[in-house]
Amino acid sequence: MPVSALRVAEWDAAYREYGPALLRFLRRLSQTRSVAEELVQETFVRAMQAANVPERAQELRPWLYRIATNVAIDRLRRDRRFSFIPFAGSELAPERDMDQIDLVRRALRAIPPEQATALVLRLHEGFGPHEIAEMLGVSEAAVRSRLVRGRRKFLETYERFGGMA
Amino acid sequence: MSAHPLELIAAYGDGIDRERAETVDRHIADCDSCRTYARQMERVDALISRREAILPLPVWQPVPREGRGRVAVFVAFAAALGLVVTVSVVRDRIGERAASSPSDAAKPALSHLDACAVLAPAALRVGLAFGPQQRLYRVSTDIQTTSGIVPSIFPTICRHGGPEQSWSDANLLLMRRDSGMDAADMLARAFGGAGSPDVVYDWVATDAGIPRAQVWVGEGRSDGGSDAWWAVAVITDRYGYVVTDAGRDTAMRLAALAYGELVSPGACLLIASAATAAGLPEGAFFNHIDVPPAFAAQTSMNTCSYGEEEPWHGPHLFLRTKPTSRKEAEQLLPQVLAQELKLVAQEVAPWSAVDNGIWLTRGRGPFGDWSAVAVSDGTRFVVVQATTGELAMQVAREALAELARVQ
Repeated sequence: MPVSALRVAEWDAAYREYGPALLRFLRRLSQTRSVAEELVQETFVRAMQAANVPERAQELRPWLYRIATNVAIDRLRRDRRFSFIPFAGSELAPERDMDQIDLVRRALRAIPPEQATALVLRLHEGFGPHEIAEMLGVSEAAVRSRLVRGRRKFLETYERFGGMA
Repeated sequence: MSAHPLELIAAYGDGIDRERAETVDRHIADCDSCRTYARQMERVDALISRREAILPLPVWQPVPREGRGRVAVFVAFAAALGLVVTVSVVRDRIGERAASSPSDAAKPALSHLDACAVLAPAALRVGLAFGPQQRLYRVSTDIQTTSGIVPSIFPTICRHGGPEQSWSDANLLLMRRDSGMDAADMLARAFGGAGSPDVVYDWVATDAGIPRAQVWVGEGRSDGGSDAWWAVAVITDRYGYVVTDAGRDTAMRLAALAYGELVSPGACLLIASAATAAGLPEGAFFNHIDVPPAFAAQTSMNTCSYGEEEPWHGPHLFLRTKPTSRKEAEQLLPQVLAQELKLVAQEVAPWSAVDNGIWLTRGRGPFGDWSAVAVSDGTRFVVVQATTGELAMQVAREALAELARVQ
């Protein structure tokens, strides 16, 4: 598989520069650290295989986020191929010592992937709705809609998992 | 503005135009529930914004890797897990069951009856909704009513409904008949009798189409008549249970379906019993896979997971509900994983036969690594998936033993 546009040394530099932030972004959407590590590697593998690597350095970061978002969505969708009907519930629910950050990750993984990734790009990574829209190639209205629906879905899911918002 | 502007409140943090922002501000100033909602939305943003820790980057190999070779990792896993001894125990259990064929009257019930495991598939079949507002609850066996505590004659009770407990929900109160209690005792003690705020009037014997069962139906009232519901009581030679629901027809259908689950246990009831027998704590959560109807019809497989909110954290059982030869079982194995679970092929190791009628595999699922054990005794076919091979084997062993007891 040819490595396009950038030389190996340049990819190595890009990995070191953008990898840590992408790893944190993907960690937010992954069950385990090893999954996040796998996804960040997958992101760069896809980037290196792409034919349309941005030439300008300032375009590289959002482009990598776009790939990472697609990698995350693919993973979340694959994880959701299992169609479970949850029967969760207990009148005598035991106390669950659930780390809050794990609970947040779980709730994010449980909501529609497009909403979860939009929320994390907006709130965790600090991109604006317009930037996210450009990054993902969708309208800003669509991004805003995902954010609104995502917040509501997250709240519902987080509370269902026992979190208090 | 009379309607609550929930969409705008949720969008507030992303920036909305000044006119809308003022509308929201004015509404929130006068609306307690919207103020609460706005605080919840702020909390959502704060939760998701909380930064992940900075992690060291994994070592980067700057050449794309092809063929990760995960399958190879799983090859020969049976030997690595040292399951030979456990496999032999399973085989012995199959032999025990084949040697014993108790009459119907002498057959014991499953060792652990779980009302939710009975109610879950029944509720699905009558079309009850499941979601954040409608779910199953394990109910304390000491039911607090306005008149006090209902006597704990039902070791396991399950309710389908919303957050508020009510007899007009679909409730299943399950009692083993070996308690020696007769029908009159059960009915009287379950609902108090005349003078109690929770009472069933005029139990009437009925024919619900349940073979060899006595069935009564009555109309219930709670809290001075404000809550009306129906109760169906079923007494068979092995089980006693009461189903309540707001609708008479639904209560009757649930009662009949519950009988079917009890006399011919499905995957939910079987794994609830097997997991408990294997020493696992009673699961606070229960999941049932929405099996594609075509696959279920084609294979007669039904499946259920148990114990954890994330389905793959708890053991997970597939049960074939009709006689299955070993050859048929082997042919079904790829479908169980590839067709029903739709796992990505490279994440599942090929099944490997480790003994006559026992197969093992291992894979990487959405919530981590898992192992699966498939067992066929030439008639019955069970597949158990769990986080470890040992656990899967243990639950499979108990499931076979349970089937041997009740079939």
